[in-house]
Amino acid sequence: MTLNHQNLNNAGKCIRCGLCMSVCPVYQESLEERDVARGKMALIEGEQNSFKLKDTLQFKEAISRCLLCGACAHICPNKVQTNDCIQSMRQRMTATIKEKILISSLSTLSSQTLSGQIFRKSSSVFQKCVGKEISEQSGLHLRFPLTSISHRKWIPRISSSPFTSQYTLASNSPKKILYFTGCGANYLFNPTAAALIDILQNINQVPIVPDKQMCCGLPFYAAGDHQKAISLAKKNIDIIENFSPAILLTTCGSCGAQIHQWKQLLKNDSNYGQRALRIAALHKDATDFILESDYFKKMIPSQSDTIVENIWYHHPCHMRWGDAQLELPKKLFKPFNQVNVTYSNDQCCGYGGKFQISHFDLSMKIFHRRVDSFKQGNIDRILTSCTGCHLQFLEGLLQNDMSVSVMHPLDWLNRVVKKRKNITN
Amino acid sequence: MIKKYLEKNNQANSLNKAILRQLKAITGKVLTAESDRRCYAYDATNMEYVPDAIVFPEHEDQVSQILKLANDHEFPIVPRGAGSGLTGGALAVKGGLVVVMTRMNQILNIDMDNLVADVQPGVVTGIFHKRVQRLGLFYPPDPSSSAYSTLGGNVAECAGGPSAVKYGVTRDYVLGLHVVIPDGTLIQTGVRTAKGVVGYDLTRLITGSEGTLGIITQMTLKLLPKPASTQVLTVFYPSMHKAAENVSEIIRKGLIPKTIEYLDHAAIACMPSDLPGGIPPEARAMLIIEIDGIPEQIESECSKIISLANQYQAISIRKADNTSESNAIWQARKAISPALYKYAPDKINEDIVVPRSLIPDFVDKVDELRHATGLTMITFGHAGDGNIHFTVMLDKSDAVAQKKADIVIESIFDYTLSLGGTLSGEHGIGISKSAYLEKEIDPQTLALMRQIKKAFDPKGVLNPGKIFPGEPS
Repeated sequence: MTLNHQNLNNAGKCIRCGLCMSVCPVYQESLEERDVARGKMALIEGEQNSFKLKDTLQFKEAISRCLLCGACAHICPNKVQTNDCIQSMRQRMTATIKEKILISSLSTLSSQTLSGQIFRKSSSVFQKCVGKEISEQSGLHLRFPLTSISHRKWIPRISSSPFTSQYTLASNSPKKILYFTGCGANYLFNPTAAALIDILQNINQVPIVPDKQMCCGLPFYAAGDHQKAISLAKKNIDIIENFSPAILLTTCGSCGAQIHQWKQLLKNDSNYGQRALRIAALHKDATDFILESDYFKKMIPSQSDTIVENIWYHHPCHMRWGDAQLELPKKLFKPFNQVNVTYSNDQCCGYGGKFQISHFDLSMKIFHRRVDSFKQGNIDRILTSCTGCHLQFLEGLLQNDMSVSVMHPLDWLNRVVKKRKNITN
Repeated sequence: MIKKYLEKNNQANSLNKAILRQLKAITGKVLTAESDRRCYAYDATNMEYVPDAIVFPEHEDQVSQILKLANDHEFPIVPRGAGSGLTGGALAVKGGLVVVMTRMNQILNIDMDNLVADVQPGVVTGIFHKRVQRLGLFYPPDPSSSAYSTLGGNVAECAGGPSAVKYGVTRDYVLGLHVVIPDGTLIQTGVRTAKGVVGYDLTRLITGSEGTLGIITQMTLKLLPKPASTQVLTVFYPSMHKAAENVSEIIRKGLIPKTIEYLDHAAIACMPSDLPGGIPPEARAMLIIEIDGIPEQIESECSKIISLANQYQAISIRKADNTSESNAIWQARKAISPALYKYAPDKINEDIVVPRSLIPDFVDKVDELRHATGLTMITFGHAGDGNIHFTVMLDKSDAVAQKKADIVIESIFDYTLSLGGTLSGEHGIGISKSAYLEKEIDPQTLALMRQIKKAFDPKGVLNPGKIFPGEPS
């Protein structure tokens, strides 16, 4: 039996108790059964029992309306792996033309081929032209419609050269650290990558940043393109092993979770299966690594009251459960007694990768649930450690005409430590 | 897993195109695709009956128009809340139209001076709990499914929960109702006051009527002031008998905790291993006791209960340290029912009630049946009020096991009634228990109930096939 089959048979374990309704962000917005895991499990089980639903529009729509946030799998009393099940059904479904276009444009972002470079560079140049009228303050907030997504208010400004090509340093640090930037920090949010390098240098660590590293594969996996996800996983494993690191750092929660997903994807592979296990064992979230290091002792030895801010910290779904699960980074804010943090730890932001592109309005409605608390709480800044969440907040805030800065926790940390240093000096 | 798909005889013309068009004109959206119908074919019984169409009314007058249409054209109507019921109340056993009430989900008013709330039926129970708690108030009915069940469903089934020993069940908190009866008429029952004896008590009649008399469109609910604090105790015993005797003794001594839940050894095995305080390996029974009130009173009751537990050979007694521990314990308790599937793919679940002093007798009976049949039987439930979730886990494709289970259920029911108990405390009859109804209700009373049903629903369009045994189909 293939992995795909095993995953789909999982649907039969669902006993329809309905507990998933209490956590599903999509169901709570629509209040329709097709949107919650038990509805999807009923459909997939029906399909498996040859009710021939797969090719109907309603079935495809139902299967596509999932964020893969994992809340249902986490809470399920019968331990149904709803995520794997839905992904496997997506894999089996004939990709519609729209999905094919989406996958191919993602492919160009992920590939290291010439066309990929051209796509990135041309879009960057194009944006620079269009973006002239937009103030530098909101440099990322371009009001420009992407081909299929006309209602989108924000499109990414893709950096003209990826972070990995700007940075070349051989590792001579005591611990051999490899930094897997992911597409987010590499193409869209360079300051995140720069902040990590800065912070590591402060504790005398110099990471390796392989310039050949590929996309982690999550977007393809979520879209049901397992083959592409597997091939990216293998290529990444080859590249990472080349440097035989002792620690593998990520700054994106989704990349982190996908590195653990590699184990699952390759578990039937006699060659890569064991290697994927070893790689996953090396993984550590960068923020978590810094919090455990002596960075704080060295850089912020005493309580600091020079930074006064209201922060909203959003814990990405990929860090809320699963193999890459992490506690809230409360330690990060301890040294700053004038920093007031609101933790958001129980709701998906509504991004869900492909979900935000294919179900934009629904995605924004799910995001909208938190807007009132932003308004009431006078939030100065939003911190989150996942590229997807980061993109969602940028878009969602703009949709609600709100101007709040969004950044990675390490980017924030690096800035405030520098700022504090300037003040105390 | 083998699952039987109970396909109804397809009454293809029960909802013709003209009717569907009219439904669409009423609510704007009617689901009829195979895929959508499959998503409303089940409830938490895990049985399947595929309806012909689904609508989501958003206003009382839409419900009225839908029912009038159904009554005129005589097609079945099945009201549905969250679909979390355990006896099939929301299943379209004769096809027809499922009316999903989840979009009527507004809390209309919370009257802080008179402690009543006006709510729509689609409000999720857990959301309502949180809302009133923030105002310093308390709505006691708390079924295991409260995180996702709806208040309308709770009222229609007269849901209970663990605190019935002290605070009663849903019916004790329903003051008044807006109900649309099958001819489309809106009736208003009950009062907004603590007292009220004008006319027949239709509120109580409709509460627990399982969607067979009307569709509830608005409810006036009674609230209480929130108790100052609570304390959760977990106690493990070497035998179920000791635990059960302890429960009777606690009540006999005049101590009325908010909750006394009990779990037998098979249910304990479904608790998570990280349960606060751990689980002693030799434990054969467990009580979860929650006391509420003012702190001094809690302290004194707590020490009395602990000393009683010691008299009944408790292996370990633990006071929960904080709210998150208490929450973890309750969460684990609420997850038992679905977690039982680790024993076998199919579940027969009965929620019988016996006078609480007779729980030890009931427990003995279960032991006897377990030994006689070798079936996996689990009992847990609301020991404080005698409501026991008696469960048999089996593989229904095993004909021998199924046969044994049928005999066991029959004798459990007979024994329950011989103790002065009742067949269902809070799940209702639905389709799961209708075959046994005549064991408890005599023919004359049952005949009167049928006449009441007829007075509300002469054409039998509303939730047909439920409660009454041997309904001609």
